[in-house]
Amino acid sequence: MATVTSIDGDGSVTVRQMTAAEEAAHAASQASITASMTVFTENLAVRGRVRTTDATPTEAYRLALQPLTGYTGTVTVIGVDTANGAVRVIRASFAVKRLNAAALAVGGPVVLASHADAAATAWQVAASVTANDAVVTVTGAAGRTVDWSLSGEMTSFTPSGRTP
Amino acid sequence: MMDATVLQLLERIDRLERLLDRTGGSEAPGKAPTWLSGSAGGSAAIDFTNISQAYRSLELVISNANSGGAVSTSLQFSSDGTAFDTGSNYDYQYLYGNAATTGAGESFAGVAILVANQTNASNVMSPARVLIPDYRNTSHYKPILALYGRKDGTSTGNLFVVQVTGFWRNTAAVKGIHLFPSSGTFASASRVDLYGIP
Repeated sequence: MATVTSIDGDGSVTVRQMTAAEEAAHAASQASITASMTVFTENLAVRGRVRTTDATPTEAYRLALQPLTGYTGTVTVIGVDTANGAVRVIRASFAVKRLNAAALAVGGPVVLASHADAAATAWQVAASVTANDAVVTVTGAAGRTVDWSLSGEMTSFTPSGRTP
Repeated sequence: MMDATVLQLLERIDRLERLLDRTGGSEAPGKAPTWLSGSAGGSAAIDFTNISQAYRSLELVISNANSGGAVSTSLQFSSDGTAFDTGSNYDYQYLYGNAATTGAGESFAGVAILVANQTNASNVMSPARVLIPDYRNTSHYKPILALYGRKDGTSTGNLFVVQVTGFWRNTAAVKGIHLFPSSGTFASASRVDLYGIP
């Protein structure tokens, strides 16, 4: 039988067994709370900001995927050269999932929009999965300082539900 | 007639007592008095009963963990000091951050308000603060504001921070507080302090 630590207004502390009625109410409350906390679909904000100073792929965003969950969303990436103001913009749709093991890509990203100044055509954005995570990397240019902003929204669906 | 020296002495004692009341006795000056506190290790719930109506607001300071898995801690109120309202009379909204992910949710007509999390990671306790303003007011539903966190490990995705506002659909004064994990029991060294704010 479950116990309850009871602290009274006079400061006295007792540890006692729950009554049968208390235990039934306790179990019902626990079940109700667990049910109300179960999440099937979530809308997640995607935000990231990073600076590159060379042509090495640099992580801009990472999301740890939940088991048995599918994800889809759109992300807009904007890169700005801090010296000459050259801009690169990519908006893409993507889908990833995780079963009980590692994260998996569901096809490749679909580019919805791509804009670039002449000085920024070689800058790249890539999405990948590694271990249990989905990762977005950006690649600037050697000798150029580029600030990148990543924003978007993602929706997840866990058919069996999960408790955050 | 009482001697003037004795009267002065009594006044000084009275001032000292008032000062101790304000500072919580041996607590640091400026803090509200720690009114009630207890360790709840092994218990499925921790109750504060027959809460004094002498304060303006209440604040719970929680450091807790779970003996099983990572679960939530919820709160129910009592209007008579001992019997807790387990009906569908609680509403709350939460906002959380987990790694770079943010999320939010709501619950209406639930049986409790979410106010903390419990980890079961080694050597880690989950912290929470719960403010219950104007708890003795009898003309409006009782609100709470909670801020809590949880750490389940040292890799990405294992840290959470959550903010909650909740409401008890009852105009009665709060005279009891019932805290319970969504499963299992409070782990050893879990602790809850109730502060009365003058």
